[in-house]
Amino acid sequence: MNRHIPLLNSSNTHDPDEKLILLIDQDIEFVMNLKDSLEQHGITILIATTAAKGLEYFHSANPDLVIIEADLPDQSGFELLQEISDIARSRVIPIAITSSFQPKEYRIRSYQLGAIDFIRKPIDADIFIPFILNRAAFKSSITNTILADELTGAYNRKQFYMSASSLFNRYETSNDSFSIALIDFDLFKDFNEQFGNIKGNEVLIDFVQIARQVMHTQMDVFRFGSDEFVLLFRHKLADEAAKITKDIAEIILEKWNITFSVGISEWSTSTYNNGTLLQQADSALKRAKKAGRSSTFIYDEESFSSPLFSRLNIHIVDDDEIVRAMLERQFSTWKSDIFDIHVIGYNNGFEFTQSNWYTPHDYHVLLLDGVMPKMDGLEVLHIVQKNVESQRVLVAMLTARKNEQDILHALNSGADDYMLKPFHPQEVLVRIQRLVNRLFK
Amino acid sequence: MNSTLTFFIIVFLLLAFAQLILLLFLTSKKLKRNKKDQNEQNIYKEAMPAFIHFLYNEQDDYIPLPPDEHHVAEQLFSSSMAITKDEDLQHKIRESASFYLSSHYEKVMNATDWSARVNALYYIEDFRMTSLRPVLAKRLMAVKEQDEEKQQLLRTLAALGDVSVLSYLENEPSIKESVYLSVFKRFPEDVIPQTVSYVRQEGSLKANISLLMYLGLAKKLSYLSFVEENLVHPNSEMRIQALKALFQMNYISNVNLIQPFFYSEIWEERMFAAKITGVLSLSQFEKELTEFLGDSVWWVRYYAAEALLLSYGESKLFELSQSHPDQYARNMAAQWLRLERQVSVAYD
Repeated sequence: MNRHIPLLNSSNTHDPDEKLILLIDQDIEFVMNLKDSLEQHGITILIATTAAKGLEYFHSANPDLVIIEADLPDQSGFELLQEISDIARSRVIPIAITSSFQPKEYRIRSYQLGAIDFIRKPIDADIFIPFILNRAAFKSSITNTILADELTGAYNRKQFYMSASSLFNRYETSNDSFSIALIDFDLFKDFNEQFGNIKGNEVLIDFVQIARQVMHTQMDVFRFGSDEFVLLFRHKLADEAAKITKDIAEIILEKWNITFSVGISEWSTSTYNNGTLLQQADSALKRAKKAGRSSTFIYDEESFSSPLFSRLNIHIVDDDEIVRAMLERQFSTWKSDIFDIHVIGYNNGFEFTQSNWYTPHDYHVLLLDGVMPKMDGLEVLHIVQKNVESQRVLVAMLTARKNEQDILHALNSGADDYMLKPFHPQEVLVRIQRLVNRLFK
Repeated sequence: MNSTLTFFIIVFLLLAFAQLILLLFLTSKKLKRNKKDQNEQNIYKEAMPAFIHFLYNEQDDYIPLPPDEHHVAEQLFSSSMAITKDEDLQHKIRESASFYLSSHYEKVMNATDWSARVNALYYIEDFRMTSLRPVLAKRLMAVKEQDEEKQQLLRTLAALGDVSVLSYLENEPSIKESVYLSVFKRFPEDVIPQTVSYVRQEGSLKANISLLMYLGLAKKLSYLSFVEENLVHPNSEMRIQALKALFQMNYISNVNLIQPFFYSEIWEERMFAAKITGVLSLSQFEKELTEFLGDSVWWVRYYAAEALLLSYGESKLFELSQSHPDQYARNMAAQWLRLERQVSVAYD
């Protein structure tokens, strides 16, 4: 009987059918229109109005397609393309360049630098949406046939499931066991920011080589996300697996001065019956992350019997009580396997900033109204950006301010999303859920 | 002297007394108003969470509001309507409004208070209260002046899908195209086919022109055949509107349809021929566009240059800026090239 390992259901993964497009463009009218039309097709758009923000999202959100406007305020779109095209190619992420002007040189340059398409503006939405779906489907079909990660040479998630399935079948009839280690680099984003993405890539490539040497196998190193890996230890108990990952960690620390956290789980019949080996490793990894950098935790049923939830606070800051009531009602329907969700409403920006809303160990989503008495959403955004530097805070504006300048200003000031009123409560929830899944690791 | 003084004192006292009475009256009115507002606010605050719960609860069919709180109900329904795009929620809000406010609005529409009637019309439109169509149609017949009430009656009836407003408009020669347009814009999607067929068969020139305007603005590609058949209309205004609609729709079923307009004597037709060629990047009209570059009308030259740039690129325009026999044509080509280069420099 061919059984397969249950999938990991965690913040590190997302529904494979759910598409996320990174749109790097400062033409607000264009991006907001496109966002509207694409969301009707279930595609989430992440907007960056500058090359810098685009680069950040490119590395953090792992998009399925990137669309770059040639003319960006802080850098040319072509320079950005050059910077990301190698990684994009290795992750099979198609990149398209858009421009209102189409001299031949632009097209040539785009294709030479690795763009898969050059699209002339104005864009006809009727053609553009099938185009996007086509490219995203192309990416999926390629990704599905690839078993190895092009950058590091490690096997990918798909190959892991195949290997693990065959192990399950084999170990089910024997008394032998095996373990897996889920590895996530600590502050990898900061490392990339400090030393550049090229250096970051070198670390990942080297990690795979070192892991293979230490484990004496080419087979059992898998890359799951940008800086997430799974190591598969055949015939090894969790303690032995922990020892080996410790050896790898020491070499990496010495060579690159960077650490990683580890969550380990061991196969047993009961594990199989209870569900997910990967989920257990993920719970252990979360505990390791919480304990501080460079920690290793082994999953055991007793101490992990209650699920380890992270608290996610949804702060709704709006002076219209109907908006608050409606969103509170909608967000109260969010049942998560990972987050313990709390919805809190505030009358205005001032009340919000005066509250002790920020707790560093929790995750926070801020839904800010644009126009409020005492302190409006943009002022709140500025205060939050100034005082809180955290990857655990996601800011979305939910406002009737449709003015291009306001939208641009909010996005440039660090808002992760901009939604317009009137809104569809269910869509607001789905959008926030998708962004949380992509941006909160 | 004494009697005059006494008279003035009496008048003064009477005036003072009258003012005091007026002040007391106004104060008590204001206090009453404040109390009413406060009372309504309290009811609103109390009813709102229950109403949100009611909206999300499928089994619930009882609107959580005390009877006859029309003002609170208006506030509650319209503010919840204003913030959501969710069609299911909108449907439930509209149903609630129809159930709770229909008979109240029927009374208002038959009452003498003009501002209350106009106010109610806006709400009736927002809440799509179709059951009130006969009441509004009756009121429309009764209104004599061309005022805001009449305009709003037409818009509201259109929003409720009452196609008979079209025949009413056709009988009112003073009605402007903008009123037709506002009616077309408000018609629900399901009455548009009926509207197009009515205007096509029986509509006045004004109705036809307005309909072409609407189809272009709303990019209603499913009515392309109606737009295209008007390209050969004997009236030039109709042909120009049809061309404009095609330009706005960004589509044409057969390129040959615009061929005759390159030879039109009407400059607007020539201009739209150039604009459509440019926006669709059609490559069949190089000769015609080249000729247009030397047209006697500036607008035609301007859009011809744009179309040449979009369809054939910078090199073609450069060639024409050097070789076109017409001085104006060479200038226009050079002007577009300068513009293009400025933008290109900004891009690099």
